[in-house]
Amino acid sequence: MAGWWRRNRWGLVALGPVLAATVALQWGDVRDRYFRSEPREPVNAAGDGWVTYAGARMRLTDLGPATDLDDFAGRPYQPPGGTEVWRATLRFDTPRPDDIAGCDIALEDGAGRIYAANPQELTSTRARFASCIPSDEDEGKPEFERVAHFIVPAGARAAAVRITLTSQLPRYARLPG
Amino acid sequence: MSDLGRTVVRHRRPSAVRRRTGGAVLVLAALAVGGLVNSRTPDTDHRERPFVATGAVGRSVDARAFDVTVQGVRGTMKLGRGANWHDTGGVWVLVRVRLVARVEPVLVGYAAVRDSAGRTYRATSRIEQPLDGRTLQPGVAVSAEVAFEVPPAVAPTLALRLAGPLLDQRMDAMAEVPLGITAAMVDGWLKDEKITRLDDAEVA
Repeated sequence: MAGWWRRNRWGLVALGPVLAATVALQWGDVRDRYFRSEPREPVNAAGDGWVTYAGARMRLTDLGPATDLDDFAGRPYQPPGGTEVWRATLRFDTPRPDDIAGCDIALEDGAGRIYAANPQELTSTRARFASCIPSDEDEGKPEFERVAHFIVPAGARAAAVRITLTSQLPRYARLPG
Repeated sequence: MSDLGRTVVRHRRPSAVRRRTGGAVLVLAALAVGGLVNSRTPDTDHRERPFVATGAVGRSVDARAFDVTVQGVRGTMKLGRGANWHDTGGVWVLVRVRLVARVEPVLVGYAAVRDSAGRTYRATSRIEQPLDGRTLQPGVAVSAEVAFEVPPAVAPTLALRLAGPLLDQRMDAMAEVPLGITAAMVDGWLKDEKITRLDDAEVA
Protein backbone atom coordinates (compact mmCIF):
# COMPACT_ATOMS: atom_id res chain seq x y z
CA MET A 1 0.00 0.00 0.00
CA ALA A 2 2.86 2.35 0.81
CA GLY A 3 4.06 1.77 -2.71
CA TRP A 4 0.75 2.98 -4.13
CA TRP A 5 0.97 6.26 -2.21
CA ARG A 6 4.55 6.71 -3.31
CA ARG A 7 3.77 5.99 -6.97
CA ASN A 8 0.82 8.41 -7.03
CA ARG A 9 2.14 11.13 -4.77
CA TRP A 10 2.43 13.81 -7.47
CA GLY A 11 -1.06 13.07 -8.78
CA LEU A 12 -2.44 13.36 -5.26
CA VAL A 13 -0.58 16.63 -4.69
CA ALA A 14 -2.04 18.01 -7.95
CA LEU A 15 -5.58 16.96 -7.02
CA GLY A 16 -6.09 19.84 -4.57
CA PRO A 17 -5.20 22.66 -6.99
CA VAL A 18 -7.18 20.99 -9.79
CA LEU A 19 -10.31 20.81 -7.65
CA ALA A 20 -9.82 24.42 -6.55
CA ALA A 21 -9.37 25.50 -10.18
CA THR A 22 -12.55 23.64 -11.20
CA VAL A 23 -14.59 25.62 -8.65
CA ALA A 24 -12.80 28.89 -9.46
CA LEU A 25 -13.45 28.58 -13.19
CA GLN A 26 -17.20 28.18 -12.58
CA TRP A 27 -17.41 30.84 -9.88
CA GLY A 28 -18.19 33.71 -12.24
CA ASP A 29 -21.04 31.79 -13.83
CA VAL A 30 -22.45 30.76 -10.45
CA ARG A 31 -22.22 34.35 -9.19
CA ASP A 32 -23.94 35.74 -12.31
CA ARG A 33 -26.63 33.11 -12.31
CA TYR A 34 -27.57 32.93 -8.65
CA PHE A 35 -26.43 36.20 -7.10
CA ARG A 36 -26.11 39.02 -9.59
CA SER A 37 -29.39 38.24 -11.34
CA GLU A 38 -31.49 39.07 -8.27
CA PRO A 39 -31.93 42.34 -6.34
CA ARG A 40 -29.90 41.55 -3.23
CA GLU A 41 -27.95 44.71 -2.38
CA PRO A 42 -30.13 47.61 -1.22
CA VAL A 43 -28.88 51.13 -1.86
CA ASN A 44 -30.23 53.02 1.12
CA ALA A 45 -31.18 56.65 1.55
CA ALA A 46 -28.72 59.28 2.68
CA GLY A 47 -29.56 61.52 5.62
CA ASP A 48 -31.70 63.82 3.44
CA GLY A 49 -33.91 60.92 2.32
CA TRP A 50 -32.61 60.82 -1.26
CA VAL A 51 -31.17 57.66 -2.78
CA THR A 52 -28.67 57.93 -5.61
CA TYR A 53 -29.08 54.99 -7.97
CA ALA A 54 -28.18 54.49 -11.62
CA GLY A 55 -27.08 58.12 -11.85
CA ALA A 56 -30.44 59.46 -10.67
CA ARG A 57 -31.66 60.73 -7.32
CA MET A 58 -34.97 59.44 -6.01
CA ARG A 59 -37.00 59.61 -2.81
CA LEU A 60 -40.32 58.50 -1.40
CA THR A 61 -42.47 61.50 -0.50
CA ASP A 62 -45.65 59.67 0.54
CA LEU A 63 -46.74 56.10 1.25
CA GLY A 64 -50.13 55.05 2.55
CA PRO A 65 -53.49 53.44 1.80
CA ALA A 66 -55.29 54.75 -1.30
CA THR A 67 -59.00 54.94 -0.58
CA ASP A 68 -59.96 57.49 -3.22
CA LEU A 69 -59.49 55.56 -6.46
CA ASP A 70 -62.29 55.71 -9.03
CA ASP A 71 -63.16 53.28 -11.78
CA PHE A 72 -63.59 54.44 -15.38
CA ALA A 73 -67.28 55.13 -14.79
CA GLY A 74 -66.27 57.62 -12.08
CA ARG A 75 -67.56 55.43 -9.25
CA PRO A 76 -65.44 54.89 -6.11
CA TYR A 77 -63.36 51.77 -6.55
CA GLN A 78 -63.91 49.07 -3.96
CA PRO A 79 -60.97 46.65 -3.74
CA PRO A 80 -61.84 42.94 -3.64
CA GLY A 81 -62.58 41.50 -0.21
CA GLY A 82 -59.51 40.85 1.90
CA THR A 83 -57.35 43.33 -0.01
CA GLU A 84 -56.26 46.97 0.23
CA VAL A 85 -54.73 49.41 -2.23
CA TRP A 86 -51.59 51.32 -1.28
CA ARG A 87 -50.15 54.36 -3.00
CA ALA A 88 -46.53 55.53 -3.17
CA THR A 89 -45.53 58.98 -4.38
CA LEU A 90 -42.01 59.06 -5.75
CA ARG A 91 -39.85 62.06 -6.58
CA PHE A 92 -37.04 61.80 -9.13
CA ASP A 93 -34.21 64.19 -9.87
CA THR A 94 -32.24 63.35 -12.99
CA PRO A 95 -31.18 65.13 -16.17
CA ARG A 96 -31.39 61.82 -18.06
CA PRO A 97 -34.66 60.08 -17.15
CA ASP A 98 -34.20 57.70 -20.09
CA ASP A 99 -31.39 56.04 -18.11
CA ILE A 100 -33.92 54.79 -15.56
CA ALA A 101 -36.85 54.29 -17.92
CA GLY A 102 -36.79 50.51 -17.65
CA CYS A 103 -37.19 50.42 -13.87
CA ASP A 104 -39.37 48.05 -11.89
CA ILE A 105 -41.25 49.56 -8.96
CA ALA A 106 -42.26 47.31 -6.08
CA LEU A 107 -43.60 47.62 -2.56
CA GLU A 108 -41.98 45.77 0.35
CA ASP A 109 -44.11 45.00 3.39
CA GLY A 110 -43.09 44.44 6.99
CA ALA A 111 -42.92 40.67 6.43
CA GLY A 112 -40.53 41.05 3.49
CA ARG A 113 -43.13 40.27 0.84
CA ILE A 114 -42.79 42.11 -2.47
CA TYR A 115 -45.71 43.50 -4.50
CA ALA A 116 -45.38 44.70 -8.08
CA ALA A 117 -46.72 48.10 -9.16
CA ASN A 118 -49.46 48.24 -11.81
CA PRO A 119 -51.29 45.06 -10.71
CA GLN A 120 -53.96 43.63 -13.00
CA GLU A 121 -56.47 43.97 -10.17
CA LEU A 122 -56.40 47.77 -10.70
CA THR A 123 -56.79 47.87 -14.49
CA SER A 124 -60.44 48.84 -14.06
CA THR A 125 -59.45 51.98 -12.12
CA ARG A 126 -58.11 55.37 -13.14
CA ALA A 127 -54.76 54.61 -11.47
CA ARG A 128 -52.12 55.73 -13.95
CA PHE A 129 -49.35 53.40 -15.07
CA ALA A 130 -46.38 53.85 -12.72
CA SER A 131 -42.93 54.34 -14.19
CA CYS A 132 -39.68 56.24 -13.59
CA ILE A 133 -39.97 58.66 -16.49
CA PRO A 134 -41.77 62.03 -16.40
CA SER A 135 -45.43 62.20 -17.32
CA ASP A 136 -46.37 64.24 -20.40
CA GLU A 137 -47.02 67.27 -18.17
CA ASP A 138 -43.51 67.08 -16.66
CA GLU A 139 -41.68 66.30 -19.91
CA GLY A 140 -38.28 68.05 -19.93
CA LYS A 141 -38.22 68.82 -16.21
CA PRO A 142 -35.25 67.31 -14.34
CA GLU A 143 -37.32 66.92 -11.18
CA PHE A 144 -40.68 65.18 -11.40
CA GLU A 145 -43.11 63.03 -9.43
CA ARG A 146 -44.70 59.68 -10.23
CA VAL A 147 -47.36 57.73 -8.35
CA ALA A 148 -47.49 53.95 -8.02
CA HIS A 149 -50.37 51.80 -6.77
CA PHE A 150 -50.17 48.33 -5.26
CA ILE A 151 -52.69 45.74 -4.14
CA VAL A 152 -51.87 43.99 -0.86
CA PRO A 153 -53.68 41.61 1.48
CA ALA A 154 -55.65 43.39 4.20
CA GLY A 155 -53.49 43.98 7.25
CA ALA A 156 -50.18 44.15 5.38
CA ARG A 157 -48.02 47.08 6.44
CA ALA A 158 -45.85 48.76 3.84
CA ALA A 159 -42.20 49.17 4.78
CA ALA A 160 -40.43 50.53 1.70
CA VAL A 161 -40.53 50.98 -2.05
CA ARG A 162 -37.94 49.26 -4.20
CA ILE A 163 -36.76 50.52 -7.56
CA THR A 164 -34.76 48.07 -9.62
CA LEU A 165 -32.98 48.29 -12.96
CA THR A 166 -31.77 45.07 -14.53
CA SER A 167 -28.55 46.79 -15.58
CA GLN A 168 -27.80 47.63 -11.92
CA LEU A 169 -28.41 44.20 -10.39
CA PRO A 170 -27.80 43.01 -7.76
CA ARG A 171 -28.18 46.60 -6.47
CA TYR A 172 -31.60 48.18 -6.02
CA ALA A 173 -32.81 51.45 -4.52
CA ARG A 174 -34.65 51.01 -1.23
CA LEU A 175 -36.81 53.98 -0.30
CA PRO A 176 -38.08 53.53 3.27
CA GLY A 177 -41.66 54.46 4.08
CA MET B 1 26.38 -33.21 -17.64
CA SER B 2 22.87 -34.40 -18.14
CA ASP B 3 19.47 -32.85 -17.16
CA LEU B 4 17.93 -36.29 -16.77
CA GLY B 5 16.20 -36.77 -13.42
CA ARG B 6 15.80 -33.02 -12.70
CA THR B 7 12.63 -30.92 -12.89
CA VAL B 8 13.11 -28.02 -15.17
CA VAL B 9 10.98 -24.92 -14.46
CA ARG B 10 10.91 -22.51 -17.34
CA HIS B 11 10.03 -18.85 -16.69
CA ARG B 12 8.81 -17.31 -19.89
CA ARG B 13 7.28 -13.87 -20.41
CA PRO B 14 3.82 -14.01 -22.11
CA SER B 15 4.01 -13.36 -25.76
CA ALA B 16 3.18 -9.91 -27.15
CA VAL B 17 -0.03 -11.28 -28.72
CA ARG B 18 -1.21 -12.66 -25.39
CA ARG B 19 -0.45 -9.39 -23.62
CA ARG B 20 -2.38 -7.36 -26.19
CA THR B 21 -5.31 -9.75 -26.12
CA GLY B 22 -5.45 -9.51 -22.35
CA GLY B 23 -5.42 -5.72 -22.50
CA ALA B 24 -8.19 -5.65 -25.08
CA VAL B 25 -10.31 -7.99 -22.97
CA LEU B 26 -9.86 -5.73 -19.95
CA VAL B 27 -10.83 -2.64 -21.98
CA LEU B 28 -13.94 -4.39 -23.32
CA ALA B 29 -14.84 -5.54 -19.82
CA ALA B 30 -14.47 -1.97 -18.52
CA LEU B 31 -16.67 -0.67 -21.35
CA ALA B 32 -19.28 -3.33 -20.67
CA VAL B 33 -19.36 -2.52 -16.95
CA GLY B 34 -19.52 1.22 -17.73
CA GLY B 35 -22.38 0.66 -20.15
CA LEU B 36 -24.23 -1.43 -17.58
CA VAL B 37 -23.78 1.23 -14.90
CA ASN B 38 -24.88 3.91 -17.37
CA SER B 39 -28.00 1.98 -18.34
CA ARG B 40 -29.00 1.49 -14.69
CA THR B 41 -28.46 5.09 -13.52
CA PRO B 42 -30.98 7.97 -14.08
CA ASP B 43 -30.64 9.88 -17.34
CA THR B 44 -30.50 13.68 -17.50
CA ASP B 45 -34.27 14.08 -17.88
CA HIS B 46 -34.90 11.93 -14.82
CA ARG B 47 -32.10 13.44 -12.76
CA GLU B 48 -33.22 17.01 -13.45
CA ARG B 49 -36.95 16.37 -13.22
CA PRO B 50 -39.17 18.82 -11.30
CA PHE B 51 -39.79 18.33 -7.60
CA VAL B 52 -43.43 17.29 -7.69
CA ALA B 53 -45.65 17.97 -4.68
CA THR B 54 -48.81 15.89 -4.95
CA GLY B 55 -52.10 16.87 -3.34
CA ALA B 56 -55.81 16.29 -3.65
CA VAL B 57 -58.82 18.24 -4.85
CA GLY B 58 -59.82 20.80 -2.22
CA ARG B 59 -56.41 20.75 -0.49
CA SER B 60 -53.73 23.43 -0.79
CA VAL B 61 -50.50 22.23 -2.46
CA ASP B 62 -47.17 24.02 -2.03
CA ALA B 63 -45.49 24.80 -5.37
CA ARG B 64 -42.64 26.76 -3.67
CA ALA B 65 -43.44 30.22 -5.09
CA PHE B 66 -47.20 29.81 -4.83
CA ASP B 67 -49.91 27.60 -3.34
CA VAL B 68 -52.60 26.00 -5.48
CA THR B 69 -55.95 24.51 -4.55
CA VAL B 70 -58.04 22.68 -7.14
CA GLN B 71 -61.61 23.77 -6.45
CA GLY B 72 -63.45 21.73 -9.05
CA VAL B 73 -63.60 20.27 -12.55
CA ARG B 74 -66.12 20.70 -15.34
CA GLY B 75 -66.25 19.41 -18.88
CA THR B 76 -67.98 20.26 -22.11
CA MET B 77 -68.02 19.75 -25.85
CA LYS B 78 -68.52 23.45 -26.61
CA LEU B 79 -66.24 25.94 -24.86
CA GLY B 80 -67.38 29.55 -24.79
CA ARG B 81 -64.83 32.37 -24.57
CA GLY B 82 -65.41 35.98 -25.52
CA ALA B 83 -67.94 36.22 -28.32
CA ASN B 84 -67.08 32.78 -29.71
CA TRP B 85 -67.38 29.14 -28.86
CA HIS B 86 -65.09 26.28 -29.80
CA ASP B 87 -65.97 22.65 -30.49
CA THR B 88 -63.60 19.74 -30.10
CA GLY B 89 -62.89 16.24 -31.40
CA GLY B 90 -62.03 15.28 -27.83
CA VAL B 91 -63.48 16.87 -24.74
CA TRP B 92 -62.83 20.16 -22.96
CA VAL B 93 -61.78 19.79 -19.34
CA LEU B 94 -62.07 22.97 -17.26
CA VAL B 95 -60.17 22.97 -13.98
CA ARG B 96 -60.95 25.66 -11.42
CA VAL B 97 -57.92 26.62 -9.33
CA ARG B 98 -57.23 29.06 -6.50
CA LEU B 99 -53.70 30.43 -6.53
CA VAL B 100 -51.83 32.43 -3.90
CA ALA B 101 -48.31 33.78 -4.39
CA ARG B 102 -46.12 33.43 -1.31
CA VAL B 103 -43.40 36.10 -1.17
CA GLU B 104 -42.97 37.72 -4.57
CA PRO B 105 -45.12 38.44 -7.62
CA VAL B 106 -45.48 35.22 -9.60
CA LEU B 107 -46.59 34.21 -13.07
CA VAL B 108 -47.85 30.63 -13.30
CA GLY B 109 -46.34 29.90 -16.67
CA TYR B 110 -46.88 26.15 -16.91
CA ALA B 111 -50.28 24.46 -16.74
CA ALA B 112 -50.81 20.94 -18.02
CA VAL B 113 -52.69 17.72 -17.34
CA ARG B 114 -50.92 14.36 -17.36
CA ASP B 115 -52.59 11.03 -18.04
CA SER B 116 -51.77 7.61 -16.56
CA ALA B 117 -49.49 6.81 -19.53
CA GLY B 118 -47.37 9.89 -18.80
CA ARG B 119 -48.67 11.88 -21.77
CA THR B 120 -48.92 15.59 -21.13
CA TYR B 121 -51.52 18.00 -22.50
CA ARG B 122 -50.72 21.70 -22.11
CA ALA B 123 -53.47 24.26 -21.43
CA THR B 124 -55.10 24.98 -24.75
CA SER B 125 -53.81 27.85 -26.85
CA ARG B 126 -57.01 27.92 -28.93
CA ILE B 127 -58.38 30.55 -26.57
CA GLU B 128 -56.98 33.27 -24.34
CA GLN B 129 -56.75 31.66 -20.92
CA PRO B 130 -57.81 33.78 -17.92
CA LEU B 131 -54.43 33.24 -16.23
CA ASP B 132 -52.36 34.11 -19.34
CA GLY B 133 -49.96 36.85 -18.22
CA ARG B 134 -51.66 37.22 -14.86
CA THR B 135 -49.20 38.29 -12.17
CA LEU B 136 -50.16 37.01 -8.74
CA GLN B 137 -49.40 39.33 -5.84
CA PRO B 138 -48.37 37.75 -2.50
CA GLY B 139 -51.29 36.87 -0.25
CA VAL B 140 -53.88 38.01 -2.82
CA ALA B 141 -55.73 34.84 -3.84
CA VAL B 142 -56.91 34.56 -7.45
CA SER B 143 -59.38 31.96 -8.73
CA ALA B 144 -59.74 31.06 -12.38
CA GLU B 145 -60.48 28.19 -14.71
CA VAL B 146 -57.87 26.62 -16.98
CA ALA B 147 -59.07 24.83 -20.13
CA PHE B 148 -57.53 21.65 -21.55
CA GLU B 149 -58.49 19.74 -24.71
CA VAL B 150 -57.95 15.99 -24.27
CA PRO B 151 -59.11 12.65 -25.71
CA PRO B 152 -62.18 11.49 -23.75
CA ALA B 153 -60.59 8.11 -22.97
CA VAL B 154 -57.79 9.62 -20.90
CA ALA B 155 -59.90 12.15 -18.98
CA PRO B 156 -60.55 9.79 -16.01
CA THR B 157 -56.80 9.44 -15.41
CA LEU B 158 -55.79 13.09 -15.52
CA ALA B 159 -53.78 14.97 -12.91
CA LEU B 160 -53.27 18.74 -13.06
CA ARG B 161 -49.67 19.99 -13.07
CA LEU B 162 -48.78 23.64 -12.37
CA ALA B 163 -45.38 25.32 -12.14
CA GLY B 164 -43.94 28.82 -12.34
CA PRO B 165 -41.50 28.62 -15.27
CA LEU B 166 -43.07 28.72 -18.72
CA LEU B 167 -40.34 26.83 -20.58
CA ASP B 168 -37.95 25.15 -18.21
CA GLN B 169 -39.46 23.26 -15.28
CA ARG B 170 -36.29 21.31 -14.48
CA MET B 171 -35.35 21.07 -10.81
CA ASP B 172 -38.09 23.46 -9.73
CA ALA B 173 -41.22 22.81 -7.73
CA MET B 174 -44.35 21.57 -9.48
CA ALA B 175 -47.78 20.97 -7.96
CA GLU B 176 -49.68 17.88 -9.06
CA VAL B 177 -53.31 17.18 -8.22
CA PRO B 178 -55.21 14.11 -9.48
CA LEU B 179 -58.52 15.46 -10.75
CA GLY B 180 -60.72 12.52 -9.78
CA ILE B 181 -62.71 12.58 -13.02
CA THR B 182 -64.94 9.53 -13.47
CA ALA B 183 -66.04 7.82 -16.68
CA ALA B 184 -69.62 8.78 -15.84
CA MET B 185 -68.64 12.45 -15.67
CA VAL B 186 -66.99 12.21 -19.09
CA ASP B 187 -70.07 10.49 -20.56
CA GLY B 188 -72.20 13.37 -19.30
CA TRP B 189 -69.85 15.95 -20.82
CA LEU B 190 -69.87 14.17 -24.19
CA LYS B 191 -73.67 14.36 -24.33
CA ASP B 192 -73.82 18.00 -23.23
CA GLU B 193 -74.89 20.18 -26.15
CA LYS B 194 -74.88 23.53 -24.43
CA ILE B 195 -72.03 26.07 -24.55
CA THR B 196 -70.04 26.26 -21.32
CA ARG B 197 -68.27 29.55 -20.71
CA LEU B 198 -64.84 29.63 -19.08
CA ASP B 199 -64.80 31.53 -15.78
CA ASP B 200 -62.59 34.64 -15.74
CA ALA B 201 -59.92 35.22 -13.12
CA GLU B 202 -61.10 36.98 -9.98
CA VAL B 203 -59.67 37.83 -6.59
CA ALA B 204 -61.16 35.31 -4.20
